[in-house]
Amino acid sequence: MKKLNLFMTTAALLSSATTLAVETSVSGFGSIIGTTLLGDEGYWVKHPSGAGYYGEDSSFEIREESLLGIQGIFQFDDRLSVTAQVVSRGQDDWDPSIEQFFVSYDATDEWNVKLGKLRNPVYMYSDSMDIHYSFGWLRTPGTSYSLSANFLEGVSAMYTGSWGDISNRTIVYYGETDKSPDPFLTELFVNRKFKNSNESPLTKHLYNVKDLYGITTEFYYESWTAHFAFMETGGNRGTNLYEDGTSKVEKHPWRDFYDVAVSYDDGDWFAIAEWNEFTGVYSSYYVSAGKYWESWQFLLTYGEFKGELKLENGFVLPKAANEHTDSLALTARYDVAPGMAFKTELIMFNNEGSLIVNDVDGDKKIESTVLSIAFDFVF
Amino acid sequence: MKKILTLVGTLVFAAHCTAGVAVIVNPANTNALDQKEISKIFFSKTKSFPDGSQAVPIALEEGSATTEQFNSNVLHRKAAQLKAYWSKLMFTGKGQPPRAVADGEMLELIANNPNMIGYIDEAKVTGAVKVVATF
Repeated sequence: MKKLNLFMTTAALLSSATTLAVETSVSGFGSIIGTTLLGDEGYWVKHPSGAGYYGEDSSFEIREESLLGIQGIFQFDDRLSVTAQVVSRGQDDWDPSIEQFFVSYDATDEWNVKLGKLRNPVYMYSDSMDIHYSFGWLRTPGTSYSLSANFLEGVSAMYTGSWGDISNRTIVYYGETDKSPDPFLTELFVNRKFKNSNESPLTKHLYNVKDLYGITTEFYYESWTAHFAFMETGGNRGTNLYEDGTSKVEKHPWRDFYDVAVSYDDGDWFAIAEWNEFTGVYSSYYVSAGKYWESWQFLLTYGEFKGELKLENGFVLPKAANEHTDSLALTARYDVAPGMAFKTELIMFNNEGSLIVNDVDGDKKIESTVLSIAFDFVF
Repeated sequence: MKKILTLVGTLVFAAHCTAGVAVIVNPANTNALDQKEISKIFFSKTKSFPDGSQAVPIALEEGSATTEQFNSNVLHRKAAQLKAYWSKLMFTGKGQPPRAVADGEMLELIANNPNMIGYIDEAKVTGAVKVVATF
């Protein structure tokens, strides 16, 4: 109840700010997502922050991926504003957290600068993946959207411009993210649900990556969008040795992330292909295509994830190094009204080498069928 | 007589329903704008007119017949699709949907601001604004 009160108080504060001189707008988003296993051992969405785990004991789980977010924008003048976004997630016991908090300044018509806590725009949908209403799937494709570096405390500059029929939006950013465990590997370093945590050396070594920077650029031509992203992480790494209670700071190995996506959306048809690679960790891709029909949208999506983790200091994770996932999903979306949509998604999930999902029957494979329904909204 | 009146009424109603949407700018704006250019501005994919001056899109209120006509004929999207599009931008700090106003305010804003672009029922256009395209 205290958590609920805190969340409601935050919402009330955002709302009451409308009485101040600054022009204030309050908006929000949310998703109620229920998932059940129709067959076999389990399902792991691989989403950042560990959301989306359904084990064999899951009946009809609503808490795992449901969320509610409220955003306030405090507009001081035509160019200067502050945005605060609070999100409460079922997976975090509904504890509200400030997920975006930044000051934004339009330096020119083309250039915008932000400072604060930002979403990291590495995937085509990574900065909007909590806004389930904004895309056709029930959730962003789980095989690809697993990089947990979805927040950045730092600065970004965004360019918006066009040349003839081609428009461009480019974001460059620099900052840090220092949550533990390692923010870049959802599955391997997530601080829960290891099948046998005693076997993992990583429970003794947690990482705080301090530096990251990158560039994301998107080109728009009529119904087409091309997305390119590059991010590099490195700097110092704080390693806590829980075995003997000591800690040390050392150079973090530089790692690069690349993402390329091409999408088509003309209001009748939708298609996208996205590929990405986190060097020395994994590569993944998905393709998705669908059709809008009246208030409906139907999508068919196939994706693969290939783990290729190489760790320093002699750590060996043979299962993760060889992990392979593929999934086939069929999604139906029905727009009740602008701002409200029902969705259902059926996923055939195949995995070998998961550290998360138990291989109950011992055949070294996870082959699950998963059904989800959701109600997404924005206001 | 009653049948004739009904027929006339039907024709008048039909004519009203088929009135086009006029995309309007300030008379001082000399840019030539086609559907692609207008669409880019209203999707916030550009913030400038072709001559480089600032472009500020203004919309009519959500749900109005003229807005639905504009969304369909110019943006080629349904209201729910546009809501989804804007929710992606507004919750990621990348943009805000065009300010939505009523017919009277639309005409007043466009007549007094060289940087604004909007749309209105073709039948409501006045001499204070300039029509750049009709759909």
